[in-house]
Amino acid sequence: MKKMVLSIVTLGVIFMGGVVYFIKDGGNTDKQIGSANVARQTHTVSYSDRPKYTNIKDLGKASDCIFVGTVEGVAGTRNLARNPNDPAEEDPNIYVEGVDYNVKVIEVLKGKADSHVLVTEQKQTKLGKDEPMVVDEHYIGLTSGQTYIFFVKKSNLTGRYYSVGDPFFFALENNQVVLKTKEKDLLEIYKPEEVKAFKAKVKEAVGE
Amino acid sequence: MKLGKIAVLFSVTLAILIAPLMVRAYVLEPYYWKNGVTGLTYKWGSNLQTSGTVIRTAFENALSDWNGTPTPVWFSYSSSSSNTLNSYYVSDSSEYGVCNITYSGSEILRFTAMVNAGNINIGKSNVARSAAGHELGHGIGLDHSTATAIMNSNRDRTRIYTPQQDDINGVNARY
Repeated sequence: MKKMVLSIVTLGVIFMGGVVYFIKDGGNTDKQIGSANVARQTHTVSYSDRPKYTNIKDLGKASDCIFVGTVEGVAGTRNLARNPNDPAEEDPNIYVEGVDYNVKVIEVLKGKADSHVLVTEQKQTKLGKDEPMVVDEHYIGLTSGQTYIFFVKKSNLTGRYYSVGDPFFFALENNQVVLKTKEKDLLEIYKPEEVKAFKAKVKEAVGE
Repeated sequence: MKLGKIAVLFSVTLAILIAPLMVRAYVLEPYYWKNGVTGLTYKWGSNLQTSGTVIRTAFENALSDWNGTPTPVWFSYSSSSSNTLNSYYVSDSSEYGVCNITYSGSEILRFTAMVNAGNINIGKSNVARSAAGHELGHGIGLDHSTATAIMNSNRDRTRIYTPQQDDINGVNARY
């Protein structure tokens, strides 16, 4: 009998404990839902649609110019988004930041380029006045003092050179040509290669 | 000789079995619309307030393209939508379009999709429509694909300008 009473009391305590816990938790949940101060951590990510070249022939063909050059430093940053009716003006609502690099041209493999040129890399975007600034998914940045092989187009508007798509540039490291990109599938295609062999392949691809 | 024939047969069989695995299909973004994609809305951004422009028409076609797919996707206009479709003019870039997605955890909260009116190829047949369809695909929750797909950055934009089977499979796998 004593055992039975003890069991009923124990079960009762457990049950009441559960009810109290449930009510307490429910109250908290209501408060959270009703509050306007609930912190919701948000993030913004940027995707872009750019040409991708999976072989050197297509990459070479699409490029206006291919040259070997050493980055001397950042010349400046600017808003690439322009007023379509007057490209001299910036778009008042959209900001597409481009970084201009001073590049000393060492050797031209296709097309024409002066001894010193500006190469533009798109860095980040702000797609509206109330939108956050978001770093471009492809952005890597060029390193001062580093020599690269650039695959570029030339802007009719500004005379600057910009990315043909992806790949855009390869770094020359220890007599090897090493692709710099965030695209993993392209890293599988364009493996590090000896400089002389790579240049020969490029010249053959563009017929120069 | 007999051994040679067996080796050839073995190689061919192996190639047939492995080939489908080598074709990479759709890729899903790590975030998606928790309430599905049947009630997606959009509004026009600052540069697409006027109808009849190349980029707005491209978006209108791309919206119809997605709405016509055998998927739950359905876009409709709402002036109070949190999703914005817009254009921008960048001539110093080979970029066709961009889509910024705002998310919390694995949930997409809103997106801004834009097509670059300054791209030198944007006036070519179907290119703007292809770019618009691609950016809407990001807004739905699709990442870049290496298959025959509107989500493939290596596609011929004059030829692939509507959602392909791979894109449809991706959406149906998620939603």
